Amino acid sequence: MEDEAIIELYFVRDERALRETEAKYGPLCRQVAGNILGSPQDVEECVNDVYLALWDAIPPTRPRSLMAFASGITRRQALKRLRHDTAGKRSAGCLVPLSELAEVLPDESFRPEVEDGELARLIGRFLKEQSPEARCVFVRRYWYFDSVRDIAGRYGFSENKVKSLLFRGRNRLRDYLRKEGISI
Amino acid sequence: MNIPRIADVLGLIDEDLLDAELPKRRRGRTVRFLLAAACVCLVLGTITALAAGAGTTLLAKFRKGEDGGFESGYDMAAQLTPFPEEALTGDIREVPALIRRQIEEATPWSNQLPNVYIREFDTSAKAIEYVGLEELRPIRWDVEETGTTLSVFGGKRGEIASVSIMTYCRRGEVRLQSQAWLRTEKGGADAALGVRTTEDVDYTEESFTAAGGFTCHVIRSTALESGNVTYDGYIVRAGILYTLHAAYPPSAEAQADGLLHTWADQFEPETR
Repeated sequence: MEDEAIIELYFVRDERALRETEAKYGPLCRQVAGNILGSPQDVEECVNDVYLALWDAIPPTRPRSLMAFASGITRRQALKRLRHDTAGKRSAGCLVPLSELAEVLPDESFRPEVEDGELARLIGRFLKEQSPEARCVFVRRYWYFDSVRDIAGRYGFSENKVKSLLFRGRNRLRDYLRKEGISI
Repeated sequence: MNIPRIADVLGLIDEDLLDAELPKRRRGRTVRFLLAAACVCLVLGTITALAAGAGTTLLAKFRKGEDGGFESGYDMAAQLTPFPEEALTGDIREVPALIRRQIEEATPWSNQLPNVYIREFDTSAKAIEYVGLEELRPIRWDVEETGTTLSVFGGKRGEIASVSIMTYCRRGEVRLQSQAWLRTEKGGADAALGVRTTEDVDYTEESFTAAGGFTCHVIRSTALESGNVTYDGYIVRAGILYTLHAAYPPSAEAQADGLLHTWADQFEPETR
């Protein structure tokens, strides 16, 4: 079913909206949650929370892209759950990718005035200026938390090429932020 | 920067970036779209005379590669008979008001075209009843219908310009999409249909005479990456364009071709 039709089902409060969302985007939501949360049970609970959140959010929200909207909610729900359960026992697949980025983003102890929204806007603008290859690899690694191997398989690249694209991308991001007046 | 904050910052980046994919990873889905009539009217003006007989004319086909990805496709012209909006007597008469409301409530970030009303039906028969056009006839054949999407394209004041009924069905290994497309006087007679696939395939054109004595126009594609081949059958009857798209493994060609003939033979000789 097309996204527009699914969104219409949400708007008329028809519960088929949830079944259609599950059929179309359930695997994607599980993948996003699975990259962040370790246990399959946590992933299932998280995805159920996502459907509830979608039901509550639409309407009034009318997403431009249901795929991006559902992915975003999944990511937030999974990170929230991860923080709640952060006793350290659980595997957190997102920690490694984020630690790669930590060294190119400003340290809040030195630059507390840089707001998250402003930084996100700059990163988004930076990504739009990159080649499609560099942009997609960056987003898969740091937004979806895909492993290097999964990204390589997804795009038919070697793992070395993915690592190289990520390395250069991080360096270019650091230079870009410096030019924008945000030094590390 | 600490890791929780990095996660939060990245969560705020523009959603458009999340949809991005590299061309080489695109799946071989076939995308149909209607070209804006205003853009093709000049071409159709010289083509219309050729369209007699089949009711449809192949305008052009192409294959091109770019950045590791491919796009292939063709454009088809059709000469339809515009119906007065009053000829649509079913519950579709509620749609102009619904489209007007969609237009009033549209926002720049909406992913729905405000002038298009879309509704799902369990069966094609229910969608046809909803439209209520006498000339629009259901196809009676032994296939499993999996859903029907009605799309009503409207003008700025909600007036109906065209109606599409797309039914998804299958039989064995053959996946089918059967579509009926009609225009109102608002939409005009000259129509164009673009078929695109994100793979490097070639198309061949053929035709046959159906039981009703009219021509069925057929465009076949070479194999997609999935191994499936496709065909699109086109018939214009009583001013309505009917299309049948099928995707199937080459081993199911006889069954797929049988379905094409069964579908085409459903239509009676022209009476309108």
